[in-house]
Amino acid sequence: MSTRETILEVENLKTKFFTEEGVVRAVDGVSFDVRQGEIVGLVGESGAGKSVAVQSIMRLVEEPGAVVGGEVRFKDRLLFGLEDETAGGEGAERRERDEMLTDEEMRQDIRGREIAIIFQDPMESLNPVYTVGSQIEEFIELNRDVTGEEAREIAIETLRDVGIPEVEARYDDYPNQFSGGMRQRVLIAMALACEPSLIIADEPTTALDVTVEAQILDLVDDLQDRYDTSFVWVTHDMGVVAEVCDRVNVMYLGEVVEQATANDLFHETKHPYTRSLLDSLPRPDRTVEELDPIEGVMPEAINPPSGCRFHTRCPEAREVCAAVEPDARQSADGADDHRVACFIDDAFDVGYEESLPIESETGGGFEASLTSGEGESR
Amino acid sequence: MSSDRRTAPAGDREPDSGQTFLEVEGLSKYFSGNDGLFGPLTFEGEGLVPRPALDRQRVRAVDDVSFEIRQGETLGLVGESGCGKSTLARTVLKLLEPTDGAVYFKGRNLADTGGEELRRMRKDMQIIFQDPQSSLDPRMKVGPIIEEPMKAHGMLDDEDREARTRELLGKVGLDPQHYNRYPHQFSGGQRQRVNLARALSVNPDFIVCDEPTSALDASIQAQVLNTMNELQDEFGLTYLFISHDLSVIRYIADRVAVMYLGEIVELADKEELFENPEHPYTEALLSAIPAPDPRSTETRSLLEGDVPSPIDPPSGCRFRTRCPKLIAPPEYDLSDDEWDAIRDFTRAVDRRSPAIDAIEADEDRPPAELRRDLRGTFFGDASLRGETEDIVEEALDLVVEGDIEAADDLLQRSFVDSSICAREVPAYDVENEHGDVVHRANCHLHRDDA
Repeated sequence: MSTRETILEVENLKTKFFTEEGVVRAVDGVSFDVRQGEIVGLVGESGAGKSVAVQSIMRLVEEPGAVVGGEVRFKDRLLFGLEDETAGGEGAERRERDEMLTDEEMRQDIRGREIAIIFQDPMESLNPVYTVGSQIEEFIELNRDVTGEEAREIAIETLRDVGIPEVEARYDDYPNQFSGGMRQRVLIAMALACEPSLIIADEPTTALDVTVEAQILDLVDDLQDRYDTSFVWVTHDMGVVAEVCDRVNVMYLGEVVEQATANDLFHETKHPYTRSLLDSLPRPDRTVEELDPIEGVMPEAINPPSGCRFHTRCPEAREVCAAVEPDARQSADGADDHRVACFIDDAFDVGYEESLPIESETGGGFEASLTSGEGESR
Repeated sequence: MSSDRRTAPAGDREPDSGQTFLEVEGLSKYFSGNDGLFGPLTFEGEGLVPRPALDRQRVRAVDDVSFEIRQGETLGLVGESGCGKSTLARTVLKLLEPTDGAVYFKGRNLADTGGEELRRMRKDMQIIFQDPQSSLDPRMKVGPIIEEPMKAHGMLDDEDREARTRELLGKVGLDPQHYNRYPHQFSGGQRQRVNLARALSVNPDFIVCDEPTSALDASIQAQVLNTMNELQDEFGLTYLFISHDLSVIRYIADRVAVMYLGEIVELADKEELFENPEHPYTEALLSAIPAPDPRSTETRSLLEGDVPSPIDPPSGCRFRTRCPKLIAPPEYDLSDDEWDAIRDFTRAVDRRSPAIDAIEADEDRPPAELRRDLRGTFFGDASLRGETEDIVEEALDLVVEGDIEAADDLLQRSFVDSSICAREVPAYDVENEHGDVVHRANCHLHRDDA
């Protein structure tokens, strides 16, 4: 896998939202790449910045948000990139590089044609007042320079490809006449119709039942074998990650904290956040006596904690973690390409060992005792 | 958490538990899609004057469901969307009037109760919903939200209610100071804790939890589940815990009931159900969950197709239309491979699957070639014998001619209708491997060892 050509390169991507309450650093220096034929996971809890990261790649971030730094390369084209920082420093407006694709080029050449995107809720991605067939047909006409009858044929063929029964009879049905799983198949068909080299799937199976999810994962597997499409797979479900991803990026509060192959991530876990995330999962395959969840909730990205952003909830946090911010580095004793942003790793030399532990800031809240049944106050 | 209660063999429970607490007997809930005075009226026939007729089309959301819950236990109810879990829960609480059957709550038949008595009993049974956002009034502060049920049941005076509310906030893992905050100031997990506090405020002993953690992130879900376990121990609560997530059920439940299309197909001790599933649907559900381990090598058995409509569910076993273990009709002498091929073909035709669909649409190739390909797809080189061969050949002819309906009809009539799965409703208790509570597995595969 590692010898294959890299098709997407995301370098130090930064996206901010300028809200009335302040600046939200939704994506803050994210780097990862995707190689030909690979499924790369972007995993994390809600608010981690997963979806904003993929929207930034597609340049779909809307006001009040904006991509403010970093570089996105797809094959040999620059999807996003700014001029080098000028002497003006932080505040100064930076100019887009000349080679960066224009909005028109993004629309014409990239979206749909080269990179397709599948969202979580198929009902929101399909227009309820047009038939399923006409929507996919239009999409094909727009992106593949074919018209009428030919587009219809491609549409029918692709719909059949993704396992929709009675395609011709159902071609003129409306989205609400399809089940959730079938609608998601329609979206996959739409994504595939233009034979893109990369599909970005944003929680595509989250709204589905397990047996339907299994069908869709199986379908993706099958389609990937046939078309060698690459995927960026955004999910919060570690089970799905284990199932489909070749490599995984774990995000926490706008940053990638760990990056590894799926196998290493689960079995050679380096970052305490990844470990806590795995420990908080109820398991389908064995009975767990007690879950060990991460304490507290993810802080707001508007005013993230200093140093390592996870230090407020981290069971391993030391004083240095609050003072210095770790970058994601090749782990000292990990496999190649296993990157981790935690001072526990020997790749860092900031005096973690000598630093004093800090208490995590969250209280359990169970210390309160109810003295009598009918509500006496403490 | 008293972990000894969870690990102790079922049946060997603490003295104060183990009694039947809630008993559900043959409960059914049908909805008619055409309520109202003229709702059931439809008009048939063409002509000038259509003939009016009574349409008795009903959605059989819950159909003849029986189970019991013992004091202090958590019964997990698992199934996919649309299987009737939530309807069952609401019918159990008499939030919906049952079509048939009875619910005994602490020995009292809820059907016989009404008015003031029912209102008083409601105090003991609470429900928590999935969406913590929409179940909280955005214009009320959480304090008064939690006090509302106490007010409704005339518990305590203003001052004591507030004191109890602040205490409950602490119990569910929130800050008592949060009394004066609005729901939008809380995260999803915290809102679900507010719901928990509200449910607990009237001191119930039974809580129906309808997907309470499904909208939450993994780490938050774990926190809320742990809190629910602690509260159960502290207040001696009995839970009916509904979820589509088998991992959550495995963590929280003592016993598990699996629902499919309005019926309970399997019911067993948790360990028994997960380690020794005896219903093909349970097996399929279990194998569909992606395990959080990339080294997991278990192959998945995929279920084909969608859940049939509860308006006109399949006869006999409702899972038979998708069951990978459908039993062959006794009149044919078929090898397993032959039966697998016939079953797959029969289903493909019934579902108008893409393979069949493509044949129908292909107008360019000669029928003989299409036919050969079709046969190859489903039967390979194998030749069938006698009567089965004739039926399959005839069905292939019909498909190639484009008369899929007739082919479907022929195949169903020949290979499905006479299967025991289509003729009889299964109901069996099977041997346990773990624990000693009754293991119900409603599948005809167990007809001999029942």
